[in-house]
Amino acid sequence: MEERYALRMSDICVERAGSKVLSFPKLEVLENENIAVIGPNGSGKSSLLLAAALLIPSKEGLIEYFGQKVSRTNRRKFRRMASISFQNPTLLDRPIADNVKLAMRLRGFDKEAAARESNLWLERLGADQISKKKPHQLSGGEMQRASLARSFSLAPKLLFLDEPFGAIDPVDKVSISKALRESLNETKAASIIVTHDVGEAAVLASKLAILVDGMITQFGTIGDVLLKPNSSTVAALVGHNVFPIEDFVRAFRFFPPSDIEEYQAVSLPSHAIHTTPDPNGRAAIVRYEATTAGMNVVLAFSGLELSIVTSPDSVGIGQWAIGQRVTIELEPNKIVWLAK
Amino acid sequence: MDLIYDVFLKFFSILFGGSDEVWIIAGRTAIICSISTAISFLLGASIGFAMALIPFRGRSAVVAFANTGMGMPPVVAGLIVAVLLWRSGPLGGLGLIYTPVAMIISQCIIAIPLVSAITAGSLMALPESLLLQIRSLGANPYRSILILGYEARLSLVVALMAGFGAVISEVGAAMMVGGNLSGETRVLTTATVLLVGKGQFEEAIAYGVVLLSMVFVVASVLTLVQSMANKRV
Repeated sequence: MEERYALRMSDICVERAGSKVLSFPKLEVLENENIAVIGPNGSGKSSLLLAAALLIPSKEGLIEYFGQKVSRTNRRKFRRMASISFQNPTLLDRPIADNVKLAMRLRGFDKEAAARESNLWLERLGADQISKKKPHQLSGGEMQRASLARSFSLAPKLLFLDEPFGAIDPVDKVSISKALRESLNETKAASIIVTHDVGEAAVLASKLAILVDGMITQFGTIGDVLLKPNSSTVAALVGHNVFPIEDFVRAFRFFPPSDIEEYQAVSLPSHAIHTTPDPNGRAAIVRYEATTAGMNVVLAFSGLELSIVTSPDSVGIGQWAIGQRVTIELEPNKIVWLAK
Repeated sequence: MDLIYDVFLKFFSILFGGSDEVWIIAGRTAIICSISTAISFLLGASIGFAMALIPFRGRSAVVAFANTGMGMPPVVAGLIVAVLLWRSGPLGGLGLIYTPVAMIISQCIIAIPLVSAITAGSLMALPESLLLQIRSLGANPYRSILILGYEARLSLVVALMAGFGAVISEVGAAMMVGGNLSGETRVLTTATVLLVGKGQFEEAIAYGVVLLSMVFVVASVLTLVQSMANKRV
């Protein structure tokens, strides 16, 4: 069956305040497909969403919604096929139910449909209890629920979500991500979801785009990108340990590949590293680090530092005590050699 | 004590002693100032919306100009209108000098920059994402303006109050282009100036109290509107 694209962006170049913030040759989202975008701060993730949602213009290139070209004159029509939820939920200073209903009325829903659907979506997103409250009375999580309910109530064919879990606590995060996942499945809207967190990307999307300095440096299935990052930057973004090749070979006494000149660095995912407590081990646990996904323990080893993803539980039960010595084993087939 | 008693007696006899003059002048003041405030608010708020929402080259210069206009000395506004409307001036043929229309024009010149600068400032202070969100919902420009106006409603009331305050309190321009003609262009401020000049302080105080009362009533109504708009359920 022929693949149908919900969104195609080609040869995009976006400038904001006189400087180039986005420049990439292609981004395609299939119908019903959910794509996550991760990248460092300032890499242009939010601009990518705004350009895709037709809210800021691309100086060059072409954007197509469901096979139809978007132009200056018809973009309002296409905007009405999509909805966007910002990182800091932008709700109007009126009760939440009115926020959702107003949005629906602007999209041409009649009064009865707006009342019915707004109640339905507020309930689905767990925001029915706050429907009479105004935005200033809500917590970050409640604002996010309201904003998502508004986005889904518009029955969008394309959904753009900017850091949907940006300002919410872990308990809310679990329930909102469940509601969001279910809503995405139900509406079958194609989506682009900007996030900092690889875990969120894996929960909500099937493909991952890495955005660095306004350019998409890698695009593929979540598994492909996580297991085979194509550069040091991508490897670091998805939480791998990245070492210059000489340091890696020296520290691990690793037999280098014959074509070592072709590589510049080694990317070592957490799951490639196995440790065993050993008083004579060459590595020692030196500290903990908080990450977007949870926490890492950091091992010092032959002048290098290795981060291993763990959970606060395992630290609590003393599995990873600071100062504890361990031996390290690597799974060679999980090591990623990064080409120059 | 007798002196204060005499002043009070005189004050009440001026206000309620049978002469309607003070109330006629107060009525004229109310009409002229209401028209000036309404025109200034409509034009000023529209300019403010345009400055805040329409990107154009030199926008910051226009905003700076409007901000400068906030400090527009009333006599300068009066001078500009007087030069334009003077019988030998470019618009002298209209015969508007020393009429209430000339006063309204000069008062608008004073109040419009104030209203437009406050409106633009309040809209620019709204988060950029709000405008983008409204646009993303597919609202046409007219609906977008209504929604944004509702979001900035408290500041718009402030702009209205500022415009009214500027209009009702100014005296220099009213004097210059209205001429303080008895029965035609005499308003509370110009009448007060005239009475002080003649040393009739009791009457001047009575006019001042009426003027102050008018400002108080209008400010109270607008404050009430503002607090209702700000009522957080």
